[in-house]
Amino acid sequence: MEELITRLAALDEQEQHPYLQAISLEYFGRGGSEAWRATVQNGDLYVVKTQNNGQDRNQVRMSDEPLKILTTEMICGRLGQLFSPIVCPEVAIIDIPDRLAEENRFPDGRQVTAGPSSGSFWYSEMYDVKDKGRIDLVPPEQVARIIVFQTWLRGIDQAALVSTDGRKALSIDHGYYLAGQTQWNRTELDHPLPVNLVQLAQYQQRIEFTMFEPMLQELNILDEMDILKAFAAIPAAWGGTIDFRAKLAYMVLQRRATVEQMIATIWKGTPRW
Amino acid sequence: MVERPLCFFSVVRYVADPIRDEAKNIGIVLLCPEKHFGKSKFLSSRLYLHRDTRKYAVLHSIIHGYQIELPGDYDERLYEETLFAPLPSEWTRDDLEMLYKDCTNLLQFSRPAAIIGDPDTLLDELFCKRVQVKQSGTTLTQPRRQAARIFRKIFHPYGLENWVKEDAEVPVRQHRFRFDIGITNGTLRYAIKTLSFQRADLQRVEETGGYYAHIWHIIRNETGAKGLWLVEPPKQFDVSRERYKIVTDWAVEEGIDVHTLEETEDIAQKIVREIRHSPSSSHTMQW
Repeated sequence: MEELITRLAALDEQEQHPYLQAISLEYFGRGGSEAWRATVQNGDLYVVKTQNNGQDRNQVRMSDEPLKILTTEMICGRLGQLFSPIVCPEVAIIDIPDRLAEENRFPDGRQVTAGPSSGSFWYSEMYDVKDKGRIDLVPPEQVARIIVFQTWLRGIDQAALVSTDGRKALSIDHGYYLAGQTQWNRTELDHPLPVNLVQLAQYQQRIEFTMFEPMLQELNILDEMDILKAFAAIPAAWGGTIDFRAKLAYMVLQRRATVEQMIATIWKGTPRW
Repeated sequence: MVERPLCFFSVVRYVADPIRDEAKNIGIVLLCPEKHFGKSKFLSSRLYLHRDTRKYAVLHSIIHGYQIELPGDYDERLYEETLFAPLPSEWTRDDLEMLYKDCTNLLQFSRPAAIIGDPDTLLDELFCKRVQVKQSGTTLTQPRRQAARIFRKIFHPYGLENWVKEDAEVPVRQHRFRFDIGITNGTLRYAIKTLSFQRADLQRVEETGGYYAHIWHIIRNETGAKGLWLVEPPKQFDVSRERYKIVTDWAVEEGIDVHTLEETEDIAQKIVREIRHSPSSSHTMQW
């Protein structure tokens, strides 16, 4: 653990994820995290959760803990970029300027908090899954990738974006992942195991164990330093300590080693769904 | 740094039958109180209304009721481009809020949103994105996003990230060619195309590759830029591998450098070194 803390501290010094600057915000508002749609300087759109989103603002946090939803979204989103093809939308820290924050209010009247927020790239031709039909069109190999990813990161409240033709799917909404849902769960944080299989109840196609293998291989050969980078350079405004993030990283590294074994055990050579 | 002005906009929607509630985006209204700017831009062809119809007269009266003046002596061109013009320059966000809340009939306005930037440019961009009918083939590809992100990351420490332009337009003679990424500071250095052979519609990838290989000599001769493809090879060793080879051979024959998407970071490093050591970069890097 001490070594992880040192490495993470060094990465914090080196890693400079450039913030994207929001030039516009529009209330999107689905779900408890009260997301916004932000346009950034190059015209790209992001789904943005601000520091005072509906879930993070109600947290009771210990002094070493960062904002749960924003931090978890950012870490899981970065980890999803390590796979090829990516497993979840590109994430970025989106800076909301004061002037823009002052002009935008949540429906209950509170003003948006300016500063670094968590952003997830908006794909114009993909839709979040609400119905069984759409996810069922996604090829099982892709669903297997999402299951591995979400299982690794203790996925809960699973959601996915699916392309209009049903051929592609990306994992989204990772705020409840890692350890605890709207609050950090110290017991889960201190106990990386067991790894429990995530199930997409609405998916009806057969998934053979062989379909998991490529993604499991990718997961196993991910460079530890690349994984660690996902936990670095979290904005100071989100709070928390390096020690806490090192614990999270340790937990994720521990879980990685067990995902393959767990999926193999459960499948036992027989297809599910 | 000069602070860019704060503007507000609403998307104007035409709902021909409010019972069916099928809205069509027909225009953008944009205000910039600090610049005393108020303008709108409409695609009136989406209304399918002629000036001499009763419905047009109804629309006219609704607009008039909200103190937005229709152009008086407009010529045909103005009529094509605008329906409301000009907006009162003293308007504020509150006026847009009023339109949003009150207009629930044939004309509706989206909840006003704040946006930072030059108002004329923003009006054009918003119009293009939210009103004009989408052209096919403009969807962002993931390899392009992935590559652009890597280029920006590598260029950032040298203050060169502005050289990376996504969806770069390259005007050559009377044509406008588009590349996924342009490395440019005004003068195009690299024109980059990304292609994924992991896509299901290989036929389309093949055609796209063929097209870019075919036109490359025109771009190279006119701009002096270097051509680069970043490709995602097929995962399987099957027929797609053969097609991949054919297409990339076309590129190589035309003098285009071909690398895999995985090599993007190395390529970006190489290009950034090249830019930093080129004699002309010191003049142009400042902006």
